[in-house]
Amino acid sequence: MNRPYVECGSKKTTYRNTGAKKQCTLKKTVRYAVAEKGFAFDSIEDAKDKDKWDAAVKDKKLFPLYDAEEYAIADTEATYWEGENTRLETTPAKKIRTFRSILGLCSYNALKSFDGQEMQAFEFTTDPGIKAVLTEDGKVKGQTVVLNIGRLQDATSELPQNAVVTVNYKDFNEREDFGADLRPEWSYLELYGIFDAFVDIVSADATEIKFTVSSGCGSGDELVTELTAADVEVRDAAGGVESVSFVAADPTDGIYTVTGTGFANGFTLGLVKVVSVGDMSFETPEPAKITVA
Amino acid sequence: MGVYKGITFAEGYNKSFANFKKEFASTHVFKNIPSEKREAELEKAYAIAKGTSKKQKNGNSKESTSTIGKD
Repeated sequence: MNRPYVECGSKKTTYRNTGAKKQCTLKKTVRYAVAEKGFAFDSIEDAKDKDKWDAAVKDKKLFPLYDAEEYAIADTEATYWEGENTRLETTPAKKIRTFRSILGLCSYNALKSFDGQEMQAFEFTTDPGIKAVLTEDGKVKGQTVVLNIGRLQDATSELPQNAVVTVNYKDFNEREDFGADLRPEWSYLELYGIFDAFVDIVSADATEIKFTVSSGCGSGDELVTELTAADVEVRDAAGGVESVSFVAADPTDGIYTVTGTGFANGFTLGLVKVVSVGDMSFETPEPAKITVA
Repeated sequence: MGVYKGITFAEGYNKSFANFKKEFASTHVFKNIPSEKREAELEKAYAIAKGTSKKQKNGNSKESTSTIGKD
């Protein structure tokens, strides 16, 4: 005989052992790094390996955000319907954190690209530590969150230009039940996001192009002088890669040279995808267009 | 792909020595070499450039018709 089928959703578990001589806790969160959905480090060891983090950043799977100032708890409590004999939850509690980041315009613009996106958030603490989540198969991922990026706040006499970020956690149980508190040997201060790199053409003719590469916001003022031949490509107007000779940057002025034949208007010069220099990664938002003298 | 100090030569480099000098002698790599030794170093570098016959494996590898090597 058929009858209604309803799953109650009860998560009652057996009591766990409570023995403890020392409480191991991480300190305050000072920076977030968010990963795209589905990303996880293969193991706890990998999640503590700085090279694995750098590789994930270079692959654009993982994005370190900016320093989190004024990190605060902004949880909302559950709401209930109160009857004469019973009390039922009508709105679940939400785990919410907020922080303020001091930001230049370009960094704000980058941060804004994460607004409303569901990501997986790793939290760096001052210990240095990392708050993460263990998956059933032993991988390490971030807590599932949606970021809301506040408006850019102009500087005042009390506060530099900044924006407030609200981190909405999808399920507070993720950390409470499956959390992983890691203590890596390195600090979040050593982890960088990908830097935009801008190619400035110094001179160009049919056989030689001289150029500099700078990082930072806008045109940037910090020259990148350690690129190699494999990091740079010249493409013709149709997009084909040209075979060129490459001369490393002149240490006196940071100017690189590429030589070849047949360089013409419409050719472009840029970095080859994301390139690494030490523990920093660079990418040209768009290659420089060549205008031949 | 031949490499001499800071210079990575294009695959299949086959220009004349005169053109090689025109192309690279004014770069900082050779300008920093004392003049009495510069010619010998240019010849050494030219041999490296000409001796490259392996296919390039990096982003500078050729994907379209190129005029490199034509004088």
